[in-house]
Amino acid sequence: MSINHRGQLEIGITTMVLIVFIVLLLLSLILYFKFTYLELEEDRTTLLDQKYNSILSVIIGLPEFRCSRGGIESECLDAAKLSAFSGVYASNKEHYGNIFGTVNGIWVDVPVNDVNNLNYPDQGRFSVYGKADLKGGIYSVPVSLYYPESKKYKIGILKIRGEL
Amino acid sequence: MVSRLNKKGIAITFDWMFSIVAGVLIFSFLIYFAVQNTDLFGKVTARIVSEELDILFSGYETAQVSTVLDFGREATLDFRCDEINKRQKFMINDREGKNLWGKIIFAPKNVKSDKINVATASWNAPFRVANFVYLWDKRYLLDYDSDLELPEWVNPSASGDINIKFARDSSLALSSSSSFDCSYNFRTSNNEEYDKVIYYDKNPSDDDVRGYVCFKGKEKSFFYGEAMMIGAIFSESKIEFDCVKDIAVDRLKIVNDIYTKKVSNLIISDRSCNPNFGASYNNAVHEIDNNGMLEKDFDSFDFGYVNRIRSANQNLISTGCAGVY
Amino acid sequence: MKRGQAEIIGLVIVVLLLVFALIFFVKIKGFEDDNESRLIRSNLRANSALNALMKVHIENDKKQMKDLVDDCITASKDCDSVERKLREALLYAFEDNINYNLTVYRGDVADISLGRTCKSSINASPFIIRSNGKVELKICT
Repeated sequence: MSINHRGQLEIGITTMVLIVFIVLLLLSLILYFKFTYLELEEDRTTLLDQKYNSILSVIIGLPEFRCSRGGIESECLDAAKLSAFSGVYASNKEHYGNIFGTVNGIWVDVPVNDVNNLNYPDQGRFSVYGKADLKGGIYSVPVSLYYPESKKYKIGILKIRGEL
Repeated sequence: MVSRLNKKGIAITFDWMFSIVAGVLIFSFLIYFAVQNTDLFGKVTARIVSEELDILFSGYETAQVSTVLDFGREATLDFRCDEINKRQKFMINDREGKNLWGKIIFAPKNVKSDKINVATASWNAPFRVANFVYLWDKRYLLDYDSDLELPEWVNPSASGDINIKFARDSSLALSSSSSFDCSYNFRTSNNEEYDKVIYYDKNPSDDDVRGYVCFKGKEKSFFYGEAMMIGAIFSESKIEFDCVKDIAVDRLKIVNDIYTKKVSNLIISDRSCNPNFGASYNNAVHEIDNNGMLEKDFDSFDFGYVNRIRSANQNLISTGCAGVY
Repeated sequence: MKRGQAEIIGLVIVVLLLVFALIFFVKIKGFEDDNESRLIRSNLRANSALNALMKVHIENDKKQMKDLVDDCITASKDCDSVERKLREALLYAFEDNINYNLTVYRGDVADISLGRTCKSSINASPFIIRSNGKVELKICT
């Protein structure tokens, strides 16, 4: 083989090697980023779940909402306090904005009551923070609602609207 | 000849290019992987720990706990209280920090250890206002009489980094803030001055306490409730204690407001309540809505006010009406 | 092909294989830990739901759901009615797209079972009924 042809052959071989290498690299990069994306999605779901559970545990535990009888608390929300809360929230927006500010809205629906009824004790929706009709997904949790005047419990749905 | 040499040269150049490109790519991968798993001088760990601690503190707000945070290696937590904005902030290892919205934490300014003690206690006045969270690393020598029942986890040591004296003073019920003076001559068994002296008086109805903390330099600060008194143990100075106390008092006003408005709802809706006892509701409203007590200086918060609310509430429950709390 | 080129290709492939092996190893290890903490945290939601279901007062009835379940377990009284009322309460508590499984046990025997079988789930702490019974709620994941 002449030197000319040998050189050309070497260029050709090297080019082929480069192409094969780049193809291999691209494939491995695609695979890597695909797995990384899946892992990030998993992390995101876990963190969001953590965030909403944290807000849920705060709301259930706050003396502003927690039910009690004679000073003894139990695992429920006081409907009379929830109804009264909107007035208190209006004068302490900054305080609650700092506590709940990572979400768009928090409210409690009472499925057995009419959602448009704003009169306690037949109130169908108790607003806690923000607005119910903003953007974002809804994270909902059934909670026990206690009505102190009738000493009865109903099922309420605590809804948190935020990023999902 | 020249063209033969050029093609040979190009081939060699291609080899070099390929080697360099491959080498750089492999090196980049390794560097990227290494960066993913290193700590960037502790910043990543500090950030994660601060987020986790914030969630932990949120959980402590609603539960009674006493535990130890084991970091595995020495960690430094710095606590600061902003008097103007009424908020607390903490920092980890001087790197990352977070604002503690809605949480009330009594701790020394600087807590440094691999094992940090954490505990909570409920602050009642008489309804639960908040759970106070306490953090500490030092040992406390507490000198008190048997009539004062402190939680087990307060754990007074036989010897301590900090010496605190508790002195019961019944005259506190009659005295006002302006008349109380931090002049004391208490000394430890080693004839040293105490770091703090806490004067307290007990409520005969429920054994809760109120009184004054005297910090070094004879600076006094009022407290109400055992939970707040325990907070005084871990606060290093009057300024820090007063700042956290102000946050707690703001919470008291908010919770108080909720109960006032709740009573209004109950008056309208409690049909099972005997109308003759409607006066009880109004009494309760009068006591809770007694703005004089909360609008005044918190120093005048007394047992009488708390007892009246408790009494009105018990009266309501015993007569079949819904209790306020 | 030159020996040098072949060697470099071989080296690259080995390095890439090692990198991927390490990534998979780290991912598998990390995944297990994440799963555990997720289960612990999400348990709060299931517990709240079961608590609400058991405490609710049934319409036109002075009794709470837990008392009706107790009657069913001890005296086999009105168990069909209890099952119907549980189903109604579950409709209020959960939206359509949430799958769950609620089981009422008399001793170790499942007396009432509502919802679907879950392949994987988050379990609420069992609600103990005083008379040798319990109620378990699983939210399917």
